[in-house]
Amino acid sequence: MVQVRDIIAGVLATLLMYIVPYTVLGGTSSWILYIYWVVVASSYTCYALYRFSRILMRGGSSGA
Amino acid sequence: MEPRALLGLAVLGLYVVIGTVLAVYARRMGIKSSRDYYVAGYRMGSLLSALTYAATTYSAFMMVGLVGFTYLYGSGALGFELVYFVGTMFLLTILAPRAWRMARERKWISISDMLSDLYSSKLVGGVVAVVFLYALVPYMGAQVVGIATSVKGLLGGGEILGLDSYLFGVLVGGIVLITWVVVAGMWSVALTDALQGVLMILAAAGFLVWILDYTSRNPGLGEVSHTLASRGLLGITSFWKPVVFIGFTVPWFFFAVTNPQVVQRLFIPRDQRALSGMVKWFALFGLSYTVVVTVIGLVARGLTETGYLPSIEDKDMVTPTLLSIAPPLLSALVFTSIAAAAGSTVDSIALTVASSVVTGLYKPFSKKPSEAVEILVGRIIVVVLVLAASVIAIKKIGFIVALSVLSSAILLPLAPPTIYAWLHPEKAERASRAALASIVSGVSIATAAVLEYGVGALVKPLLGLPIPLWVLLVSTLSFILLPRTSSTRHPDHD
Repeated sequence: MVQVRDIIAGVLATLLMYIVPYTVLGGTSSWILYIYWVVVASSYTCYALYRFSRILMRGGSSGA
Repeated sequence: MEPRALLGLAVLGLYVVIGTVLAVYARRMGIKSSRDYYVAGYRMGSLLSALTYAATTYSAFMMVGLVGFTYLYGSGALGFELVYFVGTMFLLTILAPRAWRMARERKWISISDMLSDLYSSKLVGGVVAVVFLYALVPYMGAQVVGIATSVKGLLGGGEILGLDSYLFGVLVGGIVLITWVVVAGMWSVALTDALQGVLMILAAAGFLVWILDYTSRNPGLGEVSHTLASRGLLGITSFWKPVVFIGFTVPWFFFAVTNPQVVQRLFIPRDQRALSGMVKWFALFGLSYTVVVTVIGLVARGLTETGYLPSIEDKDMVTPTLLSIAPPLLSALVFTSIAAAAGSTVDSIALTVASSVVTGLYKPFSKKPSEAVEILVGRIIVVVLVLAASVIAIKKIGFIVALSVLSSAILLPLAPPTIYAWLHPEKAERASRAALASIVSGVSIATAAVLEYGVGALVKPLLGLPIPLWVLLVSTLSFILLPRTSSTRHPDHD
């Protein structure tokens, strides 16, 4: 089965890509927005790769 | 011919020769069945899988379109591209292991094959094959335009062998790509994709080093950074209104499950380790390539703002303008990498669409299907598809150009039925009508938007929401609301 925490993590990372830039950092005059986007994307990527390895170790969770 | 053009022709020629040698070498992998031809017999290693996944995903749009977008509209372009990246990692994490396992258990060789099987409906597979032809042949045409424009840039315009350099690019690109696909199917495509992927990342890295060096020796990196900040280009510019940002990002977020050329690549890794490696290497490639490309676009804008580069209005001209002042060898490498990025997308799509047409439209009507004939028909379809894309690249018909821009939005309606069937394969066959309704309704809305708004449909708001979001909402609701059949076997099941 798909784990709820994986769904929450993905949705959260996606929302962070939209909400913070449009509410807090949109008018920035430094590289902070650029760095923010890279940090969120790379942090989520690390989490996703970790979870991906775990799911594969459990046998692929096929459901088929 | 000028020395710069001669060098460009030499680099391009070397690339074509190496690629062709690799394609021919790929025949050693042994093509005995349609599974060998279309999905490499489910026995590809991690690095090769990752490079073909990355080279297929990232087209000429990155080094031309995204550099231009960043130049014109600032950091928002990075956000748009990274939303795609996060979406892909999200979908791969929760769905790729299932798709990979089911593909080998159920012996899928194409996306039509997959959806026909999951929904127990030949009609679903046939409709999907038609949608791929409709959405992806124009997109292939746009990529051939990228190849021809790069060749023209390499040769500095003018004529070669009595042909206009753009036409020469279309001709050479078409012949090379057909050869690379036809020779050994997925194996030759993957091996040449690997070459293309390595060239793309190396050329991008070289381009970045050069532009940073050029900038530090002229206005200075600090001056460029200060100027970008003072112009508001490091924040969200007025271009990236929420409706525009959402309109751009929604189709791309679902790219990993809607675009058949990447979905099919989930079938090919030989084991779980190779699948894991594929996703890891792709993540590294995608993140690095995106950051490098957007930094180039921002620094280029800084050079313009400080007076070291002319102002450029056309976003597709930013990279060629930069390359015109870059060292000749770097310029030749980057132009060749752009042609490579476009080429790797075209040949992957051609093979994928051919596999879906064979399994979705040819096989169901064939009285005596055989492996050899399926491969032969696929090869003929590849030739026809690349020729059609070449004609589109030459004619540049307005409606088809709009379709190419919106191809990901047109494929968006495939997301609900694909994700549902991967998550609930045991329930999918009762939902075949819902899958058809989802695909037909979504594609119809996308097409109506193209007819009404042309290339602007992606960011056009309708009742306050961008069109791609409407496409996704309507196709999802159609899928959810249509009643399931009571029988476990659909009437058109074979």
